[in-house]
Amino acid sequence: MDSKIEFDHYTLAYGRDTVLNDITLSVARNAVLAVFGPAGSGKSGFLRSINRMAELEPNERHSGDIRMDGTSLFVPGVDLPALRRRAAMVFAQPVALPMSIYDNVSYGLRLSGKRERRQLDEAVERSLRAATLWDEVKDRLDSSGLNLSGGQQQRLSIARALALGPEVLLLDAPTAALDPISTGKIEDMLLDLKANYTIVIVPHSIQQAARVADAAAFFLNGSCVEYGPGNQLFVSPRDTRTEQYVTGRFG
Amino acid sequence: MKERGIGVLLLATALGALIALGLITYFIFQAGVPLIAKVGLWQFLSGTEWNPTAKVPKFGILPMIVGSLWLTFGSLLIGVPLGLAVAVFMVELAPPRLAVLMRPAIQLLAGIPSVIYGFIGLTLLAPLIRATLGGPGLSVLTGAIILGFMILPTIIAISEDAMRAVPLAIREGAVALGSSHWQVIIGVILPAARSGIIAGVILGMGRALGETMAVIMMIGNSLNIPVSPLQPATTLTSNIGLEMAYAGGDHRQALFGTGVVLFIFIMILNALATTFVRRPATSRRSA
Repeated sequence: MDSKIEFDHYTLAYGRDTVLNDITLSVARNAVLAVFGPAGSGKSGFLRSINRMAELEPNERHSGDIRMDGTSLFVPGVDLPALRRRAAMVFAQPVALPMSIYDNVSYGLRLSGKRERRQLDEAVERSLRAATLWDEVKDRLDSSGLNLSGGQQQRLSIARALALGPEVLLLDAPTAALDPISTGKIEDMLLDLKANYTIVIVPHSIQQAARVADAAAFFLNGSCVEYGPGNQLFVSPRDTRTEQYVTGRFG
Repeated sequence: MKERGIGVLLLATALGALIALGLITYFIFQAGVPLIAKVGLWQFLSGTEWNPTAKVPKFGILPMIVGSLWLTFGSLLIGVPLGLAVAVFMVELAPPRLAVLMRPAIQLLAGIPSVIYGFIGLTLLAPLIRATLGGPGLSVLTGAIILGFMILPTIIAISEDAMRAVPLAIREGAVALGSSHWQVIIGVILPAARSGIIAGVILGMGRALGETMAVIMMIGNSLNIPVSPLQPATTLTSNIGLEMAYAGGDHRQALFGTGVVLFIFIMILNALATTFVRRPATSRRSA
């Protein structure tokens, strides 16, 4: 299996709280990995370690290693903004900035210093198409992003992440604030996107994990209890804790 | 019953403060307005000559208004960039332990009596300015620099609170899009904290406008309208402070009139500050 990201005995703590405990697993290239588990199990910490946003927490400490394409994320002199463009993150709460749709999507590119109109135009259209929002907004790119519905705003947030030209998409419960129809659209989109991207998602339900995941990892109290192909993990989990969680007996 | 008693006591204290404010307002206006009416409001505000003890007394407070404006804006020129820089440092760059040490130190800056500030301006800064830039030393510039430091605690404390109140989600969203730390500070934190920062600046402005003792010591107390920051000047407050002790009759009333003008300036500034503090920094956020 060709892996894009490898966690190697990675341990993460915020102050005295251990968030992730000795995680070793790999994320396959061009696949969707769903990381699920009860609240406080370390899912977000896992996601935030990949773009090194975990370090924003006070008193963050980590040991072990994470590699992307074989290179450690922690070698000295890593360009963090560049890493965060390579591994773009989308949050549970859609964030539409108070500016036009066009400016919303091109925001990250402009931050990185790209100003050339043709390049931006091209990136905006490509990202909005990939986020399946293009047809709905192509005639009003100049209107405010705030006028979009919640589901549209979340696809706008995804388009903004895609515009960065990432290799990895980190999705932290991207449909948690959305209705079922918008959720369905975003799930369908993810299945299309994995042709070009490696996706790590914290799903907002086990059903969603089962629908979108090629591989899945079940986290509990900061440890990875079970990790395997999605169809195996959800249909015939090996660990009794995974089975109990998947079948809804706790969590 | 006990609860009720405490309630009544607190109400009485609160009313006491309000009554004190009402009485101050009443007496200042009652003592100052008749002379303003006699001289004429426009004459009073735009007259360039202040000579209350002459045979034909002149009551023009324009030199003091101009002096106050020079000094207030001059101190903002020093205090705002410095205060903002310190606040940004404390919120964004300083290790938490250092920030914890800095906060009481800055509060202490606010606790130093203004006469001490004036003393430092008079004995250290004024000779320095006289030697390096020329002029009499006691000048608008000297006052503005020291006042700039006096308003720092206000500006720092309020800007710091405003910046710390910027929701984490906004900050993280910007970081996740590949913003550098500076891009987050300039593009996200400062704009989101804007209303709080402006409120801090306005409150600092009120403090600069109202400062008296230090100003008397540093500004040279000249009744000419200053045309350069190296010249001495006088302000609304310093003139009241200097002359009230021996003023009588119309002169005394004119000083109260000056107080009325000052009072109105401060009221306007406070009203502005309140508007900005109340308006939450939501303009750049969406649900």
